[in-house]
Amino acid sequence: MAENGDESAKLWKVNRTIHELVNDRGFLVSEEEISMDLATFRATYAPHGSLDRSQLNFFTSSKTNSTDQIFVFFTEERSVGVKTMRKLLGILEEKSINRGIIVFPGNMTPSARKVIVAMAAQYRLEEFSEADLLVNITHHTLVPKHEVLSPEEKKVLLEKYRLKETQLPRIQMADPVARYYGLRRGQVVKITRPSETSGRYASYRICF
Amino acid sequence: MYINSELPGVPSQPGQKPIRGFVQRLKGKQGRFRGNLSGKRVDFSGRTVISPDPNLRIDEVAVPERVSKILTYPERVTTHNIEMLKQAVRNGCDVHPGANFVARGDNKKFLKFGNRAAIADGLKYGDVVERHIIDGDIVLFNRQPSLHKLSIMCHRVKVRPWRSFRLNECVCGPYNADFDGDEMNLHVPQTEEARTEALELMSVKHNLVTPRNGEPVIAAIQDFITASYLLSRRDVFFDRRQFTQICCYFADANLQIDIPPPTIWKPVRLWTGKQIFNVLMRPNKKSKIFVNVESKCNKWEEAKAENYPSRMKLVNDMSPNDGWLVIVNSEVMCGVMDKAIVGSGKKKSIFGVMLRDYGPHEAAAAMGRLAKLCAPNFGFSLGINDVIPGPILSMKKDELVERAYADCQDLIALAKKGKLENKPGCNQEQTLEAMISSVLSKVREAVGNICMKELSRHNAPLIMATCGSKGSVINVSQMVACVGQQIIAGHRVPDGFQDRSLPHFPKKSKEPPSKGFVRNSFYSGLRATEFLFHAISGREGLVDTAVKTAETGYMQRRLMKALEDLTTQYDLSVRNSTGGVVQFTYGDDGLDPACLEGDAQPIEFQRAWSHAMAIGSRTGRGLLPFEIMEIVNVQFATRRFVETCPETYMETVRTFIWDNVAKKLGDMRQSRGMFEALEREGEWDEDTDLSMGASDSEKAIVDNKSKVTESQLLAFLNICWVKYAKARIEPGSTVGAVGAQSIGEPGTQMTLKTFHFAGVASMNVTLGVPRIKEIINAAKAISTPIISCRLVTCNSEPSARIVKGRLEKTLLGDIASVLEEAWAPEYTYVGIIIDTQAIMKLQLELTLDDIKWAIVAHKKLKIKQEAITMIPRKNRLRIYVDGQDKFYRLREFKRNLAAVVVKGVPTIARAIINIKDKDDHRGKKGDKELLVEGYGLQKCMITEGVIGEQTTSNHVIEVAQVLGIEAARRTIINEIQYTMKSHDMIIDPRHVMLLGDVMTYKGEVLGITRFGVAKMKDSVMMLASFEKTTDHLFDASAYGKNDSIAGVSESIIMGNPAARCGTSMPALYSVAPVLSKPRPLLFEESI
Repeated sequence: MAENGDESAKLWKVNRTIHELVNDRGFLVSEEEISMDLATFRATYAPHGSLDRSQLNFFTSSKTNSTDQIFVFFTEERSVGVKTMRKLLGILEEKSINRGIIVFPGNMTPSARKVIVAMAAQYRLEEFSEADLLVNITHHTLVPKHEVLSPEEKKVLLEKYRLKETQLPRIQMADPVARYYGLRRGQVVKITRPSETSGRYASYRICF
Repeated sequence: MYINSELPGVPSQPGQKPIRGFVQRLKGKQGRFRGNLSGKRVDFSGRTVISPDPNLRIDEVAVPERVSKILTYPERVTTHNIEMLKQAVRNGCDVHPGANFVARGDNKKFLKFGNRAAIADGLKYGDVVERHIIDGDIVLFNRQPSLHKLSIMCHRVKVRPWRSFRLNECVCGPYNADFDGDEMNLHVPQTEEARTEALELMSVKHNLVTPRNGEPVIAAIQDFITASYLLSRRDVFFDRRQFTQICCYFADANLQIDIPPPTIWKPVRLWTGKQIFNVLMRPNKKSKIFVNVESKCNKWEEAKAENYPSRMKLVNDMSPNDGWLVIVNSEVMCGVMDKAIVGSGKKKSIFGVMLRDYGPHEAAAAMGRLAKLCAPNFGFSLGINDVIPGPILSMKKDELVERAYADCQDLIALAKKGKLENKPGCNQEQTLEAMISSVLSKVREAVGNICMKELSRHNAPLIMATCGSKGSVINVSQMVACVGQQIIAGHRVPDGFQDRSLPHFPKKSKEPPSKGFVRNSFYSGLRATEFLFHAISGREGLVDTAVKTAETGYMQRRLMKALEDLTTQYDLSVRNSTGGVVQFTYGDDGLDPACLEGDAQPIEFQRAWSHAMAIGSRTGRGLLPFEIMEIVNVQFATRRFVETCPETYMETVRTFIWDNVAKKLGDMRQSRGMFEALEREGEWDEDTDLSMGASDSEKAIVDNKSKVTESQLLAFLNICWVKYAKARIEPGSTVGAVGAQSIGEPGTQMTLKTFHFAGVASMNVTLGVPRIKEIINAAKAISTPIISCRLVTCNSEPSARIVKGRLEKTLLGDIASVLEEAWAPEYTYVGIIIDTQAIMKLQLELTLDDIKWAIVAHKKLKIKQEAITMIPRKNRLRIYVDGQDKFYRLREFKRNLAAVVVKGVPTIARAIINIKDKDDHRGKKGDKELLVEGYGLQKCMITEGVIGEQTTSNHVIEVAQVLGIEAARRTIINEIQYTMKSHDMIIDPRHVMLLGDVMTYKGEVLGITRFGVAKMKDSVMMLASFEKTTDHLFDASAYGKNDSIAGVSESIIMGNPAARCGTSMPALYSVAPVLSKPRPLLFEESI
């Protein structure tokens, strides 16, 4: 039982973070799903003590463009293989959604990673392990606020400083925060840091 | 062999001179790149021994006549200088204000021979005379190692007899020079342009403060401080003759001196020593130098409440040792002139204040006056009498030492019985060591205090220690009373023989004398063993310095190479030579660290306010609180404020005035029964009595306490504007180079302190140069990785212990009471009996099932799940073994099982519960937090009971992996600042931020190493001049690379002025000329 309690508490945190993540990317997420407390979470998803991860799957659409949808897929398997990826792809195809996030408790096999790369043309798949999501890193004290700039804002920025794209400071695509926001190559994030000299300071980084 | 004579595997022929291949010619410090291209030998330079001369101005250097006749400056003949130059030509090479050559066009004549008079008469406008350098000429003066920009400064020449370069002692600080045989170099700039640049940018006067943090570095040192201190003590009085004599010392004949009225009129007119400093700061009534400052002196004693009646409120300046300085309008009210007031390193010293308020010329002049004043005054010496302890002192010291010995004996006896209570994370032995060390260090401290009390106030070492000019209390007490414990590598003297440090002591002895405690003083003489211990510790210090200089030198070079081309642009962004942005605004606010008065702020409000109050006129009507705020707002709306200062700055000024002026005045009015009048209200008009009929005396009280006139307020606002406008960084500033120097230079000064206890004994953090090196190398493996975790329930010890159990690595061997082999015909197994008591005690959440899975999960052992049976009733586990090699398998299991990690994170060595000793942003005092030694930040963050959002690590690379590049940048900045602060070194945050940005702007954490720099820079030339010269050249030729010669290193190699920075930034840009295609070579086809 202790094991199960542990497990559901973990999943509750993961679930909260993934909802925050989806919300921060500009998709519709209801407030109560983020602020749901542990007891309600247990009552809804694990009424009998054990918890079925597939119940946590959900999809939602973008705040601005309702055809742009994202699907979050939880898997039970400790090590995700090609089979699971197939299953996810099947669901995506069925619901005609082209963005998917897979959340897994253990690790991912290299061949499953290859699937993500191979399908990059059709589907945007992202993977997070539960360990990545137990704590929402964007709320960490050391991590300043990141905001993704729209292409227009990016153009204004480049003109203001008369920059070429290569001259901007960079952020890696594999950077944990970049992964959180699902940055794509060429997107710019605005970073608002607290500063000991000027109070607040805005910087920019381009994803590459 | 011809190309590279150091090919591996090719043996060098003995007896034959090794061939120098192309590779060898290029690489290394003496190679073509570093020896001939990046650094060149120059003409018009000199080098000789230096010596002091306090009668020189601080921006002068005395040049020997011999030298001045060799160094020349080519001066063009004009109407203004023709007579002077004619005379110089007549004098020729051998008489001092002479000349060596005359040039007309390409025709150059040597003046040693030939008819000089004829040449002089034929001198025409436009000729160039290479004349000897004369008084007032501009030269650059330099001492190696040139660690920062202040190591080469511009002085004015003073031609003097004899053989040494002489300089004012105040300038020793930035050069780090002394006169024990140091030599320095002198260079003469050869064009007017170079002279102007040198004078404006490198002059001593413009470099009174270090750009590291804006503190003065050129200030009084050593005997100047002692003399000022002795002069300014409270019991120093002079009659008119003495006073005028002293005033004459510090001035030259062309300074008018007005003698102030004497402090004591009857029976004789006497002036105080402090009045000398009034005259020094403001020599005559015409002078407009009004210094206003209030500051703590070097040693400030707090006034004791019992010495005053209880109704009195104690204030700072009631210090019994006169340790609080107050200067109002250049009059010293109280306080002595010691290190903190006339020395370097304090922004609130009088020279620092003069520099900020009245400019470098006034500060330099005052400093020159101080140097001249202190030179001829008192004799000050030290003799054997100064280090003889009095009877009381020796008695007290012996008593203290004996008591400490007895305490140590008690501790040792306790430890032997094992009754010493262990400190967290320590075993018995470590606890004993820590406790003995603390007892012994207290002895030295106590003896030092007795020395300060018992020694005469005329004792020379004591005077030097109190005024901070040389030496410390420890040095005094070492000479007089007791040398104290000798430390080697952070511990007491280790055992050099079997179980003892020296054969003079019994084995296993832990008493103070056998472990390096020296109870004698240098005066009483050390015993043989003590002498050896002292020598060991002294040798360690020497070795450490030698190693450190080499290490910091290399670190400095790498930092410099990585940051050299970063400059501020016209939009105040910081970019490298290829135009890549490193910061969008320098230091987040575009201010120059060298011009900052407060702590990383352009202005120190409190002082600026009192200065404004003192210089502004006090006559006129006092403003009402709301009027104050109105005037502030009106001023802030004017164009000059709007255009210069950002909103945040104006807001801080406004808040300051509101909190410290308007609100205070309002409160004062209210307490005397008047309207507060903090805001203008609609119903008030001209005739409303805002004082609500308060009496005149009460109005006077309010006025006396907090009157502010309009002129005072305007003066303050003006200061605020001026300070901000001055502090803005100039476009083209080489912020990268200055930042690199500001971080590298303090490294050389870091002392032996390599470790520091992070709250808990035994939890060491690496500090000093090794730590800085780790950070800027972006090392993957650091010597003390520490993760600090904030706990969910931070006030309960048991819950902290539970979390600790979750994190800390627990081995099976720790919780198993028995590991046994069982042999039987039918089965063989390894039996494990779990000690549940131990599990309970350690408060681990561990079940048999967990242990089983932990064993199964162990990679090397390869135990199948089926092989393990649990007997929960008896707390036993059995691992059955079967098969061919069961004996060996069994043995292997038994050997390795103890090392199986059953609980916790394998990469974590240990965790310690720390109780915070002060409040900070991470929690209150007394809160528990968990300090985890080891790697695994993510594992710690996601552990239950830890607040993941507030868990931080000191490992930059790990932070980058878990939290991203921005968090890594923050960590770099925090860690460097923390390291520097624990060595009492203050570095402006802007420099550290720049370093953090440079290390992270490429998206990954790049170390300042050859690999990191290679990723940051594109220029082949620059990389070749850094490290791996030939590899980069081979690469470049293979790939046919281009180099745009845009950076600093490349420009120097090509002999150009450094492009796009400093004074060469304003330039005419034009389209690059089109080069025609190279003519095809005759035999091109054949290649």
